[in-house]
Amino acid sequence: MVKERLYKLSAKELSDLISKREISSYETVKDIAERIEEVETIVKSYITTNIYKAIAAARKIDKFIYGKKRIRGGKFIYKTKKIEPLTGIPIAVKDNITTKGIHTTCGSNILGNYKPIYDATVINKIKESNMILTGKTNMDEFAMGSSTENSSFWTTHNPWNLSNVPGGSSGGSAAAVAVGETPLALGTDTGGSIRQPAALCGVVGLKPTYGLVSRFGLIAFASSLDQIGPITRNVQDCALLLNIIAGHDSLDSTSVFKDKEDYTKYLKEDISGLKIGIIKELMGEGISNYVKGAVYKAIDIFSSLGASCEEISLPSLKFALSAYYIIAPAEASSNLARYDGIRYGLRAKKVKSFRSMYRKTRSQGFGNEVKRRIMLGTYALSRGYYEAYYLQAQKVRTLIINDFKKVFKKFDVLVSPTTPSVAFKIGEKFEDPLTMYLSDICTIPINLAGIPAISIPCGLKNNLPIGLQIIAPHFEEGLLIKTAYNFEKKFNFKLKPLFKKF
Amino acid sequence: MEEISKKDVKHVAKLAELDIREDELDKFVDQLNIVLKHAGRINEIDTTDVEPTSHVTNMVNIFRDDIVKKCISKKDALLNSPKTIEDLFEVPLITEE
Amino acid sequence: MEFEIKIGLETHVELITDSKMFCGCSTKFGAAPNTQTCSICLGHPGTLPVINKKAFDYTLKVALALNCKIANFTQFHRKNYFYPDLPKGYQISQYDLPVGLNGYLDIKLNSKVKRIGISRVHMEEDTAKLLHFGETGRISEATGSGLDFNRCGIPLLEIVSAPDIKNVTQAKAYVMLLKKILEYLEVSDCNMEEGRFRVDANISVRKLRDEYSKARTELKNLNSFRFLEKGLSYEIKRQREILNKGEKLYLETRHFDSKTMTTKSMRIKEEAQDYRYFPEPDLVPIEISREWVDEIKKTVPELPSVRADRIKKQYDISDNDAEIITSTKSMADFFESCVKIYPYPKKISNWIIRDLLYLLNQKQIQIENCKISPNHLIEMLKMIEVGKISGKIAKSIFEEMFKTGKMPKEIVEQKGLKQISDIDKLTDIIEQVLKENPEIVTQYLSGKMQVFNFLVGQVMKKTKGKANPKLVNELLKKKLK
Repeated sequence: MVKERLYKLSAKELSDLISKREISSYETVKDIAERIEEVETIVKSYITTNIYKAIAAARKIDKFIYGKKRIRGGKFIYKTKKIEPLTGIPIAVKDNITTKGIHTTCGSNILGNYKPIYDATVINKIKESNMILTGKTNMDEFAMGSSTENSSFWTTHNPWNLSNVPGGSSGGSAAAVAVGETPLALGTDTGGSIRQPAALCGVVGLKPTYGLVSRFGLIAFASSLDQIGPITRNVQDCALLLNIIAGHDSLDSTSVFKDKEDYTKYLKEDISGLKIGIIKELMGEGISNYVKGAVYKAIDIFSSLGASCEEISLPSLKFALSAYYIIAPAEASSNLARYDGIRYGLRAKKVKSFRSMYRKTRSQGFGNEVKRRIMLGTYALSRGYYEAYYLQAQKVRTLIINDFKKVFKKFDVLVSPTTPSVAFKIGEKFEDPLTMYLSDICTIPINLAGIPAISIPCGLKNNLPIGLQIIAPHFEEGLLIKTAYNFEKKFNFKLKPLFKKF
Repeated sequence: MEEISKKDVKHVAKLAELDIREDELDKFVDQLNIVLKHAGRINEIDTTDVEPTSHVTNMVNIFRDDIVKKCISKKDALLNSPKTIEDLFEVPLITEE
Repeated sequence: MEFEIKIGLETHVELITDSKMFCGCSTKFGAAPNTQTCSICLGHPGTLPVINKKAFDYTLKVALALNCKIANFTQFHRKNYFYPDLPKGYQISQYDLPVGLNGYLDIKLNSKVKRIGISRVHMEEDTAKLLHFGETGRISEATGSGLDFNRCGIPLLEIVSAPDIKNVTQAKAYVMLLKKILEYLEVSDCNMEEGRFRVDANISVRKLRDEYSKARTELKNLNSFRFLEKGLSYEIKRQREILNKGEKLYLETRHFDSKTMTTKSMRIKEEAQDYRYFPEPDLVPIEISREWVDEIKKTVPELPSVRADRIKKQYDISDNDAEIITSTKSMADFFESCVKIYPYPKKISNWIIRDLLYLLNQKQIQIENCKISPNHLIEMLKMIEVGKISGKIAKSIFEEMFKTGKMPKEIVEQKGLKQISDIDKLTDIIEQVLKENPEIVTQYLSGKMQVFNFLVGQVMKKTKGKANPKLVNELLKKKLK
């Protein structure tokens, strides 16, 4: 019997217990369901919970795990010899990933009561691995935002301080993992939307290399930047979940052909001799001093583990934010054109013509941030402005890619803060788009280059977590896992929003 | 870089099929200008002889074979539609082609 | 006043692939509404396109047949605009990097050849079908509209001609030749009535020696050859009249109204639409290698004009006959298959042009779908050659073959149509006829030569047409001496 509440355990710990048949999937899901009931009204991580179906699924998986068959000699053995990792483990999924038959909103009103008619490829993979969906988590509308305040439903509260934001746009997923409402979650990252909330909530978030994880079923924000990735309590869980979601998909033309890897093998390696570059441009103006302090302390730890650390420069980084706020809205303005009230979603009433239906539906259905970005994007693509804005931004993107390429010739990984500060107060930056956008300066360049990065906790300020970002070249998620795991072991961060208050 | 005007915002809203109320217009113009000013900084950097990046992967020639897959049922196709008429997706009056 | 007329034709052609351009839905025509769709072609959130290789191959094939320069590197772009038949709010199309550029088509006008430039050949996806409820199905009289997405996503080829076409005759010749070529390439059935081959025209008329006017009319809804002809004629006339009055022409879109046979203005474009093209991020670019082009080149058959010329020379057939024989690839194939087995091209072409074509048109079917095969025709011709059947009987056998698909030998057996060449038998019948028609005989003997045919006719009647006409002639002449 396990004494602790199951929600406090990591996915790996739960998985080990389940495969040893010391606990059942049903018990696990039941405990998570109880936890959700305890804290959800306060934290508000979920838009839709899937508890009844989850419990039914758990019972089914338990039949599979505990099913016995008779053998010679009148004995019984278990039918299933080997139980794969994460079998029977609950997982929460950000609400911009399609789940067949389950209400999917993208954090917006415009999808109305939309129930997708297909599962995203990652959902298929999760189902095939016998994981259990706990529900769909809250997010900034269409993934546009860094605080989850742009959700048309409600704002999620940071479990470390309920008056503060959890970050965004995957705020719901990050908060749910931090507070124990799920051991695992999927988020999406276009400009930092996995890493930034992971940092603000004191959990681990990884944005894979562009093309590693299928985008089929990921409701598009910016097609050349979006990726789905794990949000977990620790690096080991992250590696386990990445193993399941990574892989080529013939339904996604931008999905890469890459040999399958077991990312958990990198947990055994050490980092002596690792060459780490510290990004100068992200350790200067605009970054809070306490964040810089935490990052320097982290660098000391890396050095003590045998790595060598050196400051490096990526000169075109100072234009990254500008380029991103042209490219992402431009692609979004096109991706969001399909919301017209005809085949699904909200449809304005009392309209005289199809044009007025479009305008009314979209004006009623989209929030202000989405409208702003659609207009910005439309402007950047419009006749007369395309060259100066969109085309120029794509050229700046090339320069950023080249800068990273150059630096990775000499260094294995790079580090920087994940965010300039810890979680800010709810409402503090809401009406000020540019200030909000500036909280992404550390994470955005990574999406533009399409390379992978992970955020792990590296300190606290006023009991609010600080995140460290580790960046690797294309398809070197293994390096991220290795580096992050070694740090995590040494630093020993306590995931503590699980305090008695709840 | 040019500033975006009220007229520009109205034009762009029209292109994007969005209605912006008069009382919201000024606020949007201001906000868009703040962001655009910052974004416009990309023109400070010299990009002569730099190729634009449209795709981050280096892949080319991804195709599928011309094989028919089972279609979804008519029921599923129409399932989420707010309004259907005789197995078709209803559209309010079309006034132009 | 002298005018210069410039016409450019933009053709959209649905390709006959089994599945759609970006998803695996069937492209079969005529299915019940919204039964051939999926989350991808319905534009559901989260869906992504994947290119149909065969559709791409077909596009290359067409671009090669139209003598285009094939791009080494090509890409899809998003064409952004809002309309109910466009589920994603953008069409995946091609912009500045089309598959084929700067080709041409040589049309024949009264044995003179005129070259019409082909500006570009590119790929895109078809839109959904918008149906209007209301008596006429016309938009302006609709009481409501509905969408059928079966068509949405079918691969579409866009072929844009240069504005080299000067008049209606040239326009018709261009469209006919283009259709023929596409049909020869077997990439489309080019059915205009069912909307799988659509033509829009860009027409500008200006005074000669006038400064270049940007005015141009885009003319839509030319759904048949007849509409094309009427629409273009009307529009040219309308523009000339306006210029004659000294008024201005505009950049506008007009719709051909088949009820009144006139063109009506749809909208005056102050400026062309802003489609905000940008490279499609969900589809990686395509590199077209030399090897790939060579592979496709091999699949391009002998094109119609070349084939007509060769057939004319090789088989010594008239210009006109060669044109008719090569009007479809299947007909040309049929002809040449016949000649291979039975080297009498003139006989074969006569039967095809005179008899087979008549029956095909009557029953409204294509040669590849009819029951007569080259073997049928050849067997019949051989039977005529050896005198087993007469030419006249052959005609009825031909019709029977067409109806039932039975081989001529079988039909002759069943219906007892063998030609009667037995001299004794014929002599008997002739004697009978002469006995029954004494006055006619007298007339003949008194010099009225024409009645001979009547007597021949009577013999034929008695033998139900089966008598060998040549023999009858000889024997009758002998008897009457």
